[in-house]
Amino acid sequence: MAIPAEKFERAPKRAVDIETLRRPSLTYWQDVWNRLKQNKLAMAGLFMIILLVAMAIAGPFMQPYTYYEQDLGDGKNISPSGGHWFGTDELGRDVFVRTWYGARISLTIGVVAALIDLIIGVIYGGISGYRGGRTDEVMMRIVDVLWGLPYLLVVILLLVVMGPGVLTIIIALTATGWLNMARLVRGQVLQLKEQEYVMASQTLGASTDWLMSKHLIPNTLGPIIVMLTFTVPNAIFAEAFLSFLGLGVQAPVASWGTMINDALVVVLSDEWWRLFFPAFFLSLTLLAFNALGDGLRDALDPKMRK
Amino acid sequence: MLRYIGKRLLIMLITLWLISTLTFILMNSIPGDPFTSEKKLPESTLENLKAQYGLDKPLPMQYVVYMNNLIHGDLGFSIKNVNRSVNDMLADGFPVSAQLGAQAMILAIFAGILMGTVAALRQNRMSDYSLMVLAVIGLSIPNFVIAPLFQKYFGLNWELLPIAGWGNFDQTILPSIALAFTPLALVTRLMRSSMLEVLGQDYIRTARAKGLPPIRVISFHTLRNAIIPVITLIGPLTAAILTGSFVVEKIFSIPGIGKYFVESIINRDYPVIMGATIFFSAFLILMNFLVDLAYGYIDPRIKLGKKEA
Repeated sequence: MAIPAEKFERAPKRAVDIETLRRPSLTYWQDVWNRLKQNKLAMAGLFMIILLVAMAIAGPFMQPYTYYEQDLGDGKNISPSGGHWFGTDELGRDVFVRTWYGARISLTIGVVAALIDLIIGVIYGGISGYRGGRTDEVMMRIVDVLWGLPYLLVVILLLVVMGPGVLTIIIALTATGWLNMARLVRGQVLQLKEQEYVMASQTLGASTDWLMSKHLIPNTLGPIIVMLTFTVPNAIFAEAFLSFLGLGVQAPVASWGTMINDALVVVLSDEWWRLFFPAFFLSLTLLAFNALGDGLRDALDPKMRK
Repeated sequence: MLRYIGKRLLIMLITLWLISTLTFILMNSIPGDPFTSEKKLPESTLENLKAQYGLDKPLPMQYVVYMNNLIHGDLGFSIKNVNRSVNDMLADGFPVSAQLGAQAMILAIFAGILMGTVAALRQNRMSDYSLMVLAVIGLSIPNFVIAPLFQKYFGLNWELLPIAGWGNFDQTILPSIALAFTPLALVTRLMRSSMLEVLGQDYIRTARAKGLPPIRVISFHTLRNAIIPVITLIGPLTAAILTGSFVVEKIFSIPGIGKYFVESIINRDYPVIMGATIFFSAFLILMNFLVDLAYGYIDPRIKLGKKEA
């Protein structure tokens, strides 16, 4: 049953070469960035964060006052004006300078606490998830027990003992703050280590360090970054909350939390600027980080692709 | 199921032991004793005071007494309010805090479910976007900013509601709303995503295809299933409302546990701090446990104690 040769027809050579890529290939992170750029709220958040950081660095130098300099004469409770852009407080301190100085403290606490959570969480969760078995069992039981401890109550307890200060606040916030990150990383590593490419790498004789640093950690980076973005505002909020309880940084050092707390006594009077500026920028910072985190989560989640 | 409950109970007990031991160690690691800051007392008075509070015994002995008292539910005495036991203070404040907390919780859950549902049904339309932006703002404004603003505008400037105090229902309105602010945003967001997920299910399409009126599809088929995940949020919500009550009760001068707790921190009244911390922890741990059990009971698809895939 041979098919006669005339039944065959030579396919015409195509005018376009279908083998060449017509669009530049995008890496995963370029793809994420493109999706993030579509999200106006998230981009506004990112822009706001950059602006806030810039102002935290430059703000205190933009006026000739310091955050601790008092003026108990005529300089008390001046409303916002050309001389004092954000007015002054009851000790005659410049609210503009204090607001941006407070931004430094608040942002530092937020970012450093988040980074420490990240380091402890990735190491702990990574080991627990990668080793599996008995190690994982024991490590996760410890996490379960610590997980039950109410976060802010432990922080309050630690601060009552250690005394207030930037360093002690960071220690107290990270004491149980890393648990979230550890659980996240452990779950991810547990899932990823069963993947074929990890097995392939293992078969080729890759060491644990290599697998961790080249395969497992980079692939969990997405969720880690999202969690990091949410940890920063949580830490900033916690610091402000602690200031409200009198456990924040001590005078004359200012943070947004302490400034808000100091201003609460005058909220019913007309000196609105003392509450407004720190409260506004605190809320704006939390908003910016939350919006960016939401956007990043959507951009990193392939399920959201349309 | 029983095995799971047993395991959870064990973890709960260990956590409780840990927090009580932690408070004991921390409070005893503070240099000096509670009476050093007072004005100079005669040596004999000091010794009597220490004996009264059991502070003259060696530390391990104190720990045994402390744990024994805890097991019997005795949280000790306040140092700043002489002759007030911590139990008394907690018992006084609890009904107030519980009412405030319950009102805030109910408000957050009902309004949140409503707003989340509306947002999901109007997905990607103007009302959805505005509700979601509102929710992010709600998450971002701390309650210690909201509460004084409420006082200033609703209380002082517009004279609609009392500024502070406790007793009449109208005095509970502003603090309840201030306390419900962040939880409301959380419920709204969760409800929206949960609603969207259920709306995409096949059985919803079936219900629509067989011609059920939309209101019936939404209320009987969608809402009932979409509400389930909100139950998991009750645990974190309780924690948020509890810590929020410290702030709100202090700002609105409400005689609840939160206010006592904040005052005890400011006065460094260590027995009250310890007692309240243990009480709050026990309450939260128990709440989380009950919520998990309820979740497994309400949604049979959840297999408690089974390893997650």
